[in-house]
Amino acid sequence: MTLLRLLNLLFFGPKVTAPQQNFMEVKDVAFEAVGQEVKTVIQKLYGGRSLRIRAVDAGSSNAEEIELTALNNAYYDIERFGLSFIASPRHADILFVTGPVTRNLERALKTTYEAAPQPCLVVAIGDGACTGGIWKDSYAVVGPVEAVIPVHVRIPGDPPSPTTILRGVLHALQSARI
Amino acid sequence: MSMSTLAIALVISVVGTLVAGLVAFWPDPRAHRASNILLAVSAACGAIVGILIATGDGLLLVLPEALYPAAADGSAHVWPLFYGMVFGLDRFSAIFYSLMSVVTLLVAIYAIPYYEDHAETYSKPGANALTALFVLGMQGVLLSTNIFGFMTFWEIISVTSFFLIMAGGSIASRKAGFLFLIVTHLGAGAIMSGLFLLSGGALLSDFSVIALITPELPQATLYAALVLLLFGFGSKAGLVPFHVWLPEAYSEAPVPVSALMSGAGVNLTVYGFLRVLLFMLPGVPMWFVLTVVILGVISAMVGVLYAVLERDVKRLLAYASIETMGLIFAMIGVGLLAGQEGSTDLTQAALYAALFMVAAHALFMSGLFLASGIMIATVHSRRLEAMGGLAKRLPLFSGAVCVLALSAALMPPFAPFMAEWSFLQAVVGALTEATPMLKVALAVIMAAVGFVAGLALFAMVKLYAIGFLANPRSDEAAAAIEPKPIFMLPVVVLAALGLLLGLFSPLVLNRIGAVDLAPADLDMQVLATGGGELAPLTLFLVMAGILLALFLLRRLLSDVTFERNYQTWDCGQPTTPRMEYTATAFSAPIRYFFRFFLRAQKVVTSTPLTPNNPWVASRTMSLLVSQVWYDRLYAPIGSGLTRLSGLVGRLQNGSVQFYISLILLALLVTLIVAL
Amino acid sequence: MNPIVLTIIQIVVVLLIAPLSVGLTRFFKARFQGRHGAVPWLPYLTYATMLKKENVISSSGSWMLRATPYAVLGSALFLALVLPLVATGGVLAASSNFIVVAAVLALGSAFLVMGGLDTGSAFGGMGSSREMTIVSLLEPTIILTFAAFALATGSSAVDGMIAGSQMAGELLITAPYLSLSLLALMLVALAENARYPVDDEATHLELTMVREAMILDYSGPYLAMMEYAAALKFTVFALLVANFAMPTPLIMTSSTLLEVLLAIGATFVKLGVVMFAVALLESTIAKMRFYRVQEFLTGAFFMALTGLALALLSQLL
Repeated sequence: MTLLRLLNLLFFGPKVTAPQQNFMEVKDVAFEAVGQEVKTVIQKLYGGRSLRIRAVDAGSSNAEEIELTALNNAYYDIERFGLSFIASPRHADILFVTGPVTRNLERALKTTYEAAPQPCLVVAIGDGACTGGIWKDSYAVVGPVEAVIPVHVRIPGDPPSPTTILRGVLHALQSARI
Repeated sequence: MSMSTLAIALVISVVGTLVAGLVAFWPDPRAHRASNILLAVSAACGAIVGILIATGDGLLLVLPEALYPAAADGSAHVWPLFYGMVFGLDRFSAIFYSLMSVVTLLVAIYAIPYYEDHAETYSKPGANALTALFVLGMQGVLLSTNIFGFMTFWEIISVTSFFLIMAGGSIASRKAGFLFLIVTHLGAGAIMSGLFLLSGGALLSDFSVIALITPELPQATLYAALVLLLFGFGSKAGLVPFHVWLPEAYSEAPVPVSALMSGAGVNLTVYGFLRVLLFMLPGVPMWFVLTVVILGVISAMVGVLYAVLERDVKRLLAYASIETMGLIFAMIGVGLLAGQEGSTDLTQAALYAALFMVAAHALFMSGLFLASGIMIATVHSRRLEAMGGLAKRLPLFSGAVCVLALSAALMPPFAPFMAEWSFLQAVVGALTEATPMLKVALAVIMAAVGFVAGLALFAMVKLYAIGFLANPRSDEAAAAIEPKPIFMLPVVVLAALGLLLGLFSPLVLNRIGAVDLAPADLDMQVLATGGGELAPLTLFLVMAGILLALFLLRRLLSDVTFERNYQTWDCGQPTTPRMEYTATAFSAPIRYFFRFFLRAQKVVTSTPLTPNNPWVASRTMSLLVSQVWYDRLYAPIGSGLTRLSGLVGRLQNGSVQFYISLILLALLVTLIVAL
Repeated sequence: MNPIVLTIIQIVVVLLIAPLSVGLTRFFKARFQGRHGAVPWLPYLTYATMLKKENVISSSGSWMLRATPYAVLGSALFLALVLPLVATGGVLAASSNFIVVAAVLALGSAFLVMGGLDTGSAFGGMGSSREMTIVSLLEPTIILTFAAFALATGSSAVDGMIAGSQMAGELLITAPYLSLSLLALMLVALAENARYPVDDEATHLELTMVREAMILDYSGPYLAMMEYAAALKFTVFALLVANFAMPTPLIMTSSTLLEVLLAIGATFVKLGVVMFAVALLESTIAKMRFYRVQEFLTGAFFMALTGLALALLSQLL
């Protein structure tokens, strides 16, 4: 019975993401707006197609990963904008790279990039990925992502918020001529 | 073609085989080729005769009469040789004769490069002569029409295969040879005594004469004969639990011999079994039929389970052969059972399905064994774990093997599937009107056949995928190149024959007499039984059409040239062939799910760097699949026999007086019993 | 109506709605998770994107890697052509013999497995081994399930099984003992289509994957073919189960235009209902550990066996 009540609540009850004003102040209107914009841009650029993301951890502190995970949760729910995370770079349209590229993960990042089918966008997420961050010039890191593979968009922040990340994706799509 | 022409061709096929055996000893380097070509030519002759007689209506070829037609006054010539014994082919034996000849033809072609490449292991003249003699034995068994001829040639087969199995000279092959010798002679003894019981002890009486005697036999005699015959033929066919010799023998024999034994030799057991049951006996008791069904089903299930687990390519094929023989005997058993219960449609469909399965098995099993020879020659190992990557290096050959493996896995549209379909469909059709007892049996059989079909797919996919796909697991496999055309030709031909036999199965079945299963009024393109229909050719065309449409659509909808080669997605760490799934790992779930039966023992040993350092220097895994039969059945019998022979050994004390007194004692006992 | 037209209508409708099956389940599942979720027609866009992308082929692979997408999609397409999904009595209805259907299904899976092993990656091999185990142990269940239907309807062609029940009204009402067989068929459908509790299509963790692990290395058009094949097979099974369970009129040779439109509309409804049920199931149960899947498979097998036994018993009465 409890299960049924729960299912009923989940399925027919208010969506965590849907009516924002019910439980939130104005703050995340920005996210919604960016999301809608991404949706239209994806539609325009890809002729109305979906976008599949492969996240690559090139030695991050996991702060960015937590934000990326948040993108998937019920609150942000990027799936509704046609974006989704997938399990293999072979399936990916876009790579999210986080962290300063450590020497151990340099090869992994390179092969991931090579393994992804073109056209494929690369987005560097977080200060580490954009510049090397506080690990810059350390003997253990190669440097920013662009030292290893071409980067289309940088999203600074340590870590950037989900909204910033989504806005970065929007930039990537707008700037890319695919 | 007139009778006498056919008879002459038949004689040529037999004499040619004999000459091929003699030519092998000609002291000239060309003898090897000459012998095998002669064998191939005579087999081709035999194949043509066999096919003509098998597809002719009620044609019966009897050798002396066909060669020396009876005089006008009706007095037949007396055959001067072999005590006036008569040899001949009827429609039934001709089916087996043609199959045997086709397999022999291709094996002889294959043997030419095979023995040339393995000259240091096998003596070419010996192997050729023995092979020819082996073929002669098979021809003789099929041509014989009396017990004496049948048993003589049966023994020729046994003895030649014994020497051929040992031809490798290794300890393993000698062990396999002796195991084979023991089982096969026990079997031959059982068959001989069974036949003698049926014929009332007459050595030279014709099979048709035995058929007249058997209805009057006392029940006990009949039952004893049946048990003996089932053991005799069943042990030679490799039915569980008499199968222990088979994987050893098939895997140790030279590849052409394995192919010949599995593709042609083993069929003779079906021939002999059916010859006795259908042509010589008025009917068989229910318990016997049920025993045949149960033995068949158990063999199929056990065979396929071990095939799934096996990692040695030839042993895998041997177990797959046990599985198919099990299916064939189960089909025969169901046919007889249905006959007893009055479902005549099912009887016909099941028996013809069994015959068709024999034909299909002959083609795909010999093809797979010949292919295994090429695989082994390429990687210098029988272990599947040493193979891999062959599909990329040997594309044409791998295509042929893929077809053969899918055939063996009972996949459409190949011949074995048609046999399985006919059988299952007939069973489903018979369910409605069957007696309650038959219904239960049929439901169980259906589940068992489904189980076997599923796991057969597993075994064959494993054989093909681990053997041919992914990256090579050894240096030899990495350096593989496409084999010589003549080496590959028989494999490709057998794969193609399997496909053609499947596509034209209604025609073939109709011509060999299954007029209900493949009715002539449906243009001989449709198999129809038990309320279901299957048109193999249409099925194939639909499948081919779909693939063609997809091929065109792919070109239409996407850019074919927008393509790039890159290494396998490795999650960032370089992959090596050692990381690939192995045959052991691939079958691990099955090993786990059937652990109560298989009792596999996995032992993982890790060696630490130093005794007090947890870092592991090396780790080995060994897997022991216990042979339940061997431990529970053979080992006790073996040790019992050893103990017995120890007791008997006490008699051998070397004193002549003692022996003479024993003889006297024996004489006395005999006299007392006899009087 | 011409049987050829029937088959064409069926294949066009099924091909068109196939991506919707995957989209709908994801949509319903998102709703059950309290999310808004992507639009149900997102898979159409995804497959279209994949078709335009580059095809990265593993350099370890042989011709098998290239043959696999065709064989897998071909097998699903064969099923969509011959089975009675939208129309019965089509031109290929005679080829829908249940043994053939089971074999073609297994053939497609065999190629999927071989394609997974061909890349040489450990994940591909793992997925292949698991898939092969599931497929091979499902074989007897499929045969027994359909045998019970064949026994009850007197037809060995799946088309006949459905067509007979269309005429008579409801298969399950005339032969209620078939509900066990139907349940077994549902379990088969779940296992064949990489659904809970056997497999999780949404997983990103390779160690829990079955089907996903085998297609990790496909990209671009080949990935589109594989994904589309999966969606097609899912649709075929969904409509088949629906046609057995909730009899709604299918298109027949005697149908009028209105009936044709009604049947097509009903197809959408059936698909929606089945996908909702699948989403509900996947939101309420947990995925099984792979080595426990044997319990699921054994359960399905005994359900099918009991179904057949009941069908046999009911004949005696």
